[in-house]
Amino acid sequence: MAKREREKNFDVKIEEKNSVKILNLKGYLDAYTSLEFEEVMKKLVEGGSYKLVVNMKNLSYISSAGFGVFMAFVDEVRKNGGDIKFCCLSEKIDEIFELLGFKHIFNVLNSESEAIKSFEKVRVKNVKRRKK
Amino acid sequence: MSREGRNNKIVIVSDLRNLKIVREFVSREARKFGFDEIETEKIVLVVDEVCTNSIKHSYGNKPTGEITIELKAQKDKFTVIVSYDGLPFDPKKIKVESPVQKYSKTGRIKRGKLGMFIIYQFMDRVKYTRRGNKNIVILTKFLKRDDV
Repeated sequence: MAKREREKNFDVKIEEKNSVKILNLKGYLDAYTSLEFEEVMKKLVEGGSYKLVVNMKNLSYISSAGFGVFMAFVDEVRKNGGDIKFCCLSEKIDEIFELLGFKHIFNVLNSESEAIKSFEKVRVKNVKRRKK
Repeated sequence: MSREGRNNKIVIVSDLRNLKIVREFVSREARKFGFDEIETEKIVLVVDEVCTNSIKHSYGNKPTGEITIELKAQKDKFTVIVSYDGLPFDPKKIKVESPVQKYSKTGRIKRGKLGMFIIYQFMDRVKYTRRGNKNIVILTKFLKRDDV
């Protein structure tokens, strides 16, 4: 019953584009639903997925517990040459990101394709650096 | 799971699943009072954080307690009073710091205490008190009307 309730309030669908994992979030990410989401993130990062785009187009709400999940993993993915990037924020969630200063810590982009492309830029930079 | 009284009051069982009920209640009343979508979101977020903290820390994640959320509307003042039993909480013992401040000092991103930062950042007044065995959090936000 608890799982069914959580599924109704929050859902995450994962797809892969250009070796980047796209996490499509839907619903409400609060202290209850973030418990399940943390497990999803843990599996991804432990499985070696370090380039992550979080598409928030269908996310209606996020509390500190939801932000906390990203904060818990971002240092590790960056250490491994990846990042957690966000895209397609609703006006409401964009304002919350702004007010909490998350735009200074995280990379927030307007569209999913921009977010994916920004990983390609990093890859090109790294290749150039290696050639030098 | 919850009961709503006539005087804009809701009582929930200390279970994280009930946060949704609290958010819907506060959101509806804040909008009715005149707050726009963004200001309403801030109030909802703060009340969610206070309730989450009480469930996690004062009730130790056990659904054995109750949390009362009472709303008072007075002129331009919108007050939310959250009260609960359980372990006492002293906010002075918590260092409230913005995630950006923490990041610029350490170069690392660490979670924790973000809820407290949100509570103080998004309300005009925050007061934690204890009356008898009850923790009481009084959250106030003023409505800035165009004609004022």
